[in-house]
Amino acid sequence: MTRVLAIDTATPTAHVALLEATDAGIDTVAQTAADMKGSHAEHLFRLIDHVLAAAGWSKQQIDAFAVVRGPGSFTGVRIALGTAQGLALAADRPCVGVNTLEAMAEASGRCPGDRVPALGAGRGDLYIARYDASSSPPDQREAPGLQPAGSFWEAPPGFVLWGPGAEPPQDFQAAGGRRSATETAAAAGRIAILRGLDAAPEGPVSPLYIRPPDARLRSSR
Amino acid sequence: MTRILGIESSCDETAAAVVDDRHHVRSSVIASQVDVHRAFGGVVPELAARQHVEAIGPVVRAALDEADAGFDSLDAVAVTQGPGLIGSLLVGVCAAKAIAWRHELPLLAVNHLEGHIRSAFIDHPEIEFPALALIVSGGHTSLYLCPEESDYRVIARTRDDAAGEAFDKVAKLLGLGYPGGPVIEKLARGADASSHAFPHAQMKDGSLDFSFSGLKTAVRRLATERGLAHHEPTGGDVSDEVRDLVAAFQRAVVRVLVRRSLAACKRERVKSLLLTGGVACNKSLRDAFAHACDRAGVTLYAAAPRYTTDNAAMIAAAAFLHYEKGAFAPLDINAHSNFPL
Repeated sequence: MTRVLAIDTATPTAHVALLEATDAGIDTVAQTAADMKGSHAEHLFRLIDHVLAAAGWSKQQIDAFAVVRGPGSFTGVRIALGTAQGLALAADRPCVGVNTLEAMAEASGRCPGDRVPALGAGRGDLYIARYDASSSPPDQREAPGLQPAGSFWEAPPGFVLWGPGAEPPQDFQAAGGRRSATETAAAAGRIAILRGLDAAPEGPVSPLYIRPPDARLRSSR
Repeated sequence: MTRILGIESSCDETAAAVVDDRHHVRSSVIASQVDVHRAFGGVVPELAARQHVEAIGPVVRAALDEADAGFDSLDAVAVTQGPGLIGSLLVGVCAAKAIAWRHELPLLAVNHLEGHIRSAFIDHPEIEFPALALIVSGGHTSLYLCPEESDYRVIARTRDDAAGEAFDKVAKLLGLGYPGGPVIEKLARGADASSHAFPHAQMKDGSLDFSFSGLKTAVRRLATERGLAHHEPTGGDVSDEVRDLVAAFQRAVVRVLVRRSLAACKRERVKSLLLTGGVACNKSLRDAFAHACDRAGVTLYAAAPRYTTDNAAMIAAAAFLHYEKGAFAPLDINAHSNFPL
């Protein structure tokens, strides 16, 4: 049996989940979410203590960590990864990074077409990726990228799963779509278990920002 | 024995340290980002935060390994809560909380400026109070009166640029590279510091506050008049004219720091002066302070050069004062970019 703590603070709602993997399958034992704009750093451990109490687990029983490594809020990603790196180091347990968009696809389950998670990226852009319609963990068809919202909604490349900051225009019909399921921490934990916690690469989990920093050298503009 | 793990990530250095009993530094590991920011001539906050995320785990691991310390040997975890760059601070705060939470250790939230002041105590635990502390770095230029331990009263601060910032800006406008402090110090060695007489900013209200923007503007004006301004690193040799100019600039900064600090010692009737912060590793500044303090009958306690620039040993050292008082931080603290001492 393997017990996993999964964390997602990449978007305005923080998600925390505990999962248990046995030969019989993967169970989400407890999960919670809290909408707390800009203050994930303050409340994250309260959420973690809450799910542990709900599950009746001690913190020492956690075998591995899963963390949503972006894209999303830069600050949120730093909170998640700073916390996850600290936890993995302190517990001497593996930590697996999962991208926000695949967690959205996993959480949303089977869809009528290729799953296309879309997440607000600010400045009129969206973070998007494309996964097959039903695999778990999701089979990536198009790597996460950045696209202007306007052109995306005109011709989305599949069944859209929109997340925070990515409301479709009123006349949106195209290939169809719906709001993404929100249980992203549980989904990240499931993806991490399915891919194999032992297969986690050595060293710290790298964040996935997609949008480059604004700072550019004059000569490279 | 009490052992504290310290974590510091307020600006562009990711650092961790293990300190025993206030000032026995078992390890002090610093991952500098200077190569990342050099090309920009200054610290880029978003780049800094990104670097911290990558570095924090390995740096903490290295500090523990170097100290031959396991988590079970720790009594507390200390972290810089502010002031600093918010994205950078958050990485250290979150990692420290995670370690404290997992091992059920007290969390100690330290003000970065208190860390700088306590850096002088690492090699000088005998410092007597009342004391005066000058913190002079790229982000701060402040004088604190410390009537007793853990009591800090700001009596002067810069009204514009920090001294280290002035070094960086002057180096940038002359195309000398980044960071400006070490570059200017090296070029000024042996040059004619009396070649230019730069003005010293005096406050009309008689306060001991600092101001360096006028000095920077004077250097810019002179550099522009003489065709010395470049804005891009020039590389290669630097003319004697530029070396004399930066020597005169450095002397002007040193003089005002020394004069203001000693005037403060006199006004507050203090006989212990602490010299701390990144600029305090400048040799001509240290020499000038040593000379002036000697003449004034003030005992100078300069932080060891390795503890002047941002480091986590000073954060752990400062954290002992919190630990001894039982001033533990809850796990719901946030980082604060603006965090007055």
